Amino acid sequence: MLNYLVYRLLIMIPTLIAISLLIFTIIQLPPGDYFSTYIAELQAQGEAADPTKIEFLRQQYGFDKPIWEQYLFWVGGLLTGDLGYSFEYNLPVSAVVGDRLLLTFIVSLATLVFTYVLAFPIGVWSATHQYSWSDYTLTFLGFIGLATPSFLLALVLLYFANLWFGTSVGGLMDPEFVDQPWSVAKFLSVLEHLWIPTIVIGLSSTAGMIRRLRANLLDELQKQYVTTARAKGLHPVKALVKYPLRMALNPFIADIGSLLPELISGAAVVSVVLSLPTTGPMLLEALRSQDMYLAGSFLMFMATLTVIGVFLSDLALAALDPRIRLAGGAGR
Amino acid sequence: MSSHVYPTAALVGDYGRAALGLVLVAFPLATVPLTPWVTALLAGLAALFGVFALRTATRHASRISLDETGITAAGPFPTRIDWDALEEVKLAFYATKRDGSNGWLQLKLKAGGRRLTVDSRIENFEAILRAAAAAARARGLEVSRATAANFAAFGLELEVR
Repeated sequence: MLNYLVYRLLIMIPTLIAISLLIFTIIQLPPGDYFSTYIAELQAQGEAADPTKIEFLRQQYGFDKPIWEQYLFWVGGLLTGDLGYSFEYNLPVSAVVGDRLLLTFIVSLATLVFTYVLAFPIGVWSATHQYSWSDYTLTFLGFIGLATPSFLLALVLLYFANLWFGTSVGGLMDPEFVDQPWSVAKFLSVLEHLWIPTIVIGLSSTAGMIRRLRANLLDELQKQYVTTARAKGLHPVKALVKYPLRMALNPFIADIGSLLPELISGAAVVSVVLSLPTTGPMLLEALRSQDMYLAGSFLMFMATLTVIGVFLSDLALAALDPRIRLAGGAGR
Repeated sequence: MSSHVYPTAALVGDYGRAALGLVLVAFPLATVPLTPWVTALLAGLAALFGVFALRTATRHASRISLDETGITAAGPFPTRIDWDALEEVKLAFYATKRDGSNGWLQLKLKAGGRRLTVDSRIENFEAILRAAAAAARARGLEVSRATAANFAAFGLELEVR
């Protein structure tokens, strides 16, 4: 396992370096920089920018230096905990991200728990009761979940939550708690608003996961070793849990790779529709305005989480199912 | 009786990986004033690559001998497992690609609190596998489904637990 760990780590490090180069290049691709966009916007409005301040910021953040030096400055900052400065908000990136990261994490974690808690039993039930009325009903609901656009469901739920429960429209808390320190009342308000984004964001992935788990488990249950286990008189639960379920769990584990960055990106479009104070809309805005440190730090953070997620899922898969694939070879 | 060593050519990659890993984490550690969290992370990685380098050198200096009564590892950490005391056999495959199309095997044997691990880059690995499978069958040992599938890839049948 140590060999495997080192092998995977050594893939991770150059991958992260390559991703950082790619992110930096993409952010630099549009002509000009944040300051030239800012000056142009001010001039269009007939106003003038403070040239001293702009020159100071240009020098402080190395915008007057060659591209490769700017890249090293940015990457060095990431390593030393300096995420840079958001020109759009006139604040350090860490201060801008602040509370949003926590709220995004709360929404995403709730969504993750919702997805797994719902998908796992339904997927197993659906596979073990194939072609029963309950399987058809759950399959029908799954397809509805997959087919419904998230933003539409968000609008419908917002309307009914306001009509039936009096929940304020949009946001993740009642307006009086915005920008206030955390308290029990604020936490309860967050909980009151949390179920809508949880259902909206989680429904399509839940439906997808149910379909995948059902299909994988059905594949395993039809294999000869399960028939043999049953013929030998093994208890049905043991014959299900011991091997078929473990094998069918592989895609669940492989999903960790994509789930970790989603914890932070937090379904941007749905967040815009629901006016959620999460990081998704902020990332969209940062990309639009070429706020390079804010956008770059976000993207790098998500890429790092993706790489860590894939790394963890690979380790888990290697521990769970270290079987040889006969199509390939053994030995490097 | 047969004797098996890890050929130098098979371990060059591991030495290279250990060196590359150490360089990649030591460079920022030595040149950039890092935050405590990043320093701890990189120091942990440096320790891991160091252990890996030592493990590779240990393997390089080891010699595995097979005889009718057991398997012996001679070198920095000598050990012996007698076939008639064999308690557990595990054969795991570690894929280097996501589709599992390439990788290596690792055989773990356990008896009386002693462990012996051999990987598929050793000379004539298949002979060791055959001896371990024969001992497992003779002892009536049951193995995991993954281990049985891996042995089956070499035409060796073992009882699944």
